[in-house]
Amino acid sequence: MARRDDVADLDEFGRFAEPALLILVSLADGPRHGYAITEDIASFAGVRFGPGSLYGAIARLESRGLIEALEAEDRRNPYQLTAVGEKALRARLASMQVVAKVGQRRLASA
Amino acid sequence: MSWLVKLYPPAWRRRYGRELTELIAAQPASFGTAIDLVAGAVDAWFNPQSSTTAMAADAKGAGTMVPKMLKLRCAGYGPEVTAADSRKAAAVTIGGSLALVAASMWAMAYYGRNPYFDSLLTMGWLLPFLFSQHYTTYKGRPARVQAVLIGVPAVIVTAIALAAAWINSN
Repeated sequence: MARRDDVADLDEFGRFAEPALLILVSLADGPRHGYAITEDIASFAGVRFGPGSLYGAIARLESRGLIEALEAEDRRNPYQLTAVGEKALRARLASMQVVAKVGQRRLASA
Repeated sequence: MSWLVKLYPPAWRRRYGRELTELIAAQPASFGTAIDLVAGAVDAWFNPQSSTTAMAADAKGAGTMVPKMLKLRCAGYGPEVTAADSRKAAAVTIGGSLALVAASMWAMAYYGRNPYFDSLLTMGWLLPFLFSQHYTTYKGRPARVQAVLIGVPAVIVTAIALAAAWINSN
């Protein structure tokens, strides 16, 4: 299946693709700092990423302009989704939704 | 376990080190976390991200260095060599080579074929090229320094040419 260009960004992240996607989902709800992102992901996805994986993904997302750091609050740097990040997240979720629907339909008819 | 942050590149630590340290402190220490941090450090060294490299460049004042480097690059990685300088250097190299070829051919015609004239004909172009560097590579350097930097290689080239001719004639 051909991928859309705006989805390809996360594919370049390699092993950081999954944490990157979950970080984007977490930030879709509003700005968060590293610890809050970890806790949020643990609550909605049941996954707790290590600090190295989390910040490896954050560095990649920030470098590609998908998220941006806000002014430090209480020595913590919150991050927020950018317009580019929101677009990439929407495209990725739409792509996942198509795959999920196809998978569910095939399982139902099996 | 915060000491593992020191495994990360300095530029990375400047950007994310404090946040990472706080996150490590907020989580229970485990072997898995240590492995994750080491793997993250290896990744940070081998895959530097622009969010950290840009900050490192700013910290070192590269905001002003980059334009300077670009300027030097446009000018030939060294002294500010103008187009006129390049033309002068080319004129010295080409003109000097042609003059030496003409001189050696005239000498051969007048005195007969000679290994020394052959050497001059073969290696003569190196001498004008060395002198042309007065306008390019060594531009702006003190005259004494230029005399050494150009004169010594010129003497060596001449000595090699003469030695080759002497070997050829014996």
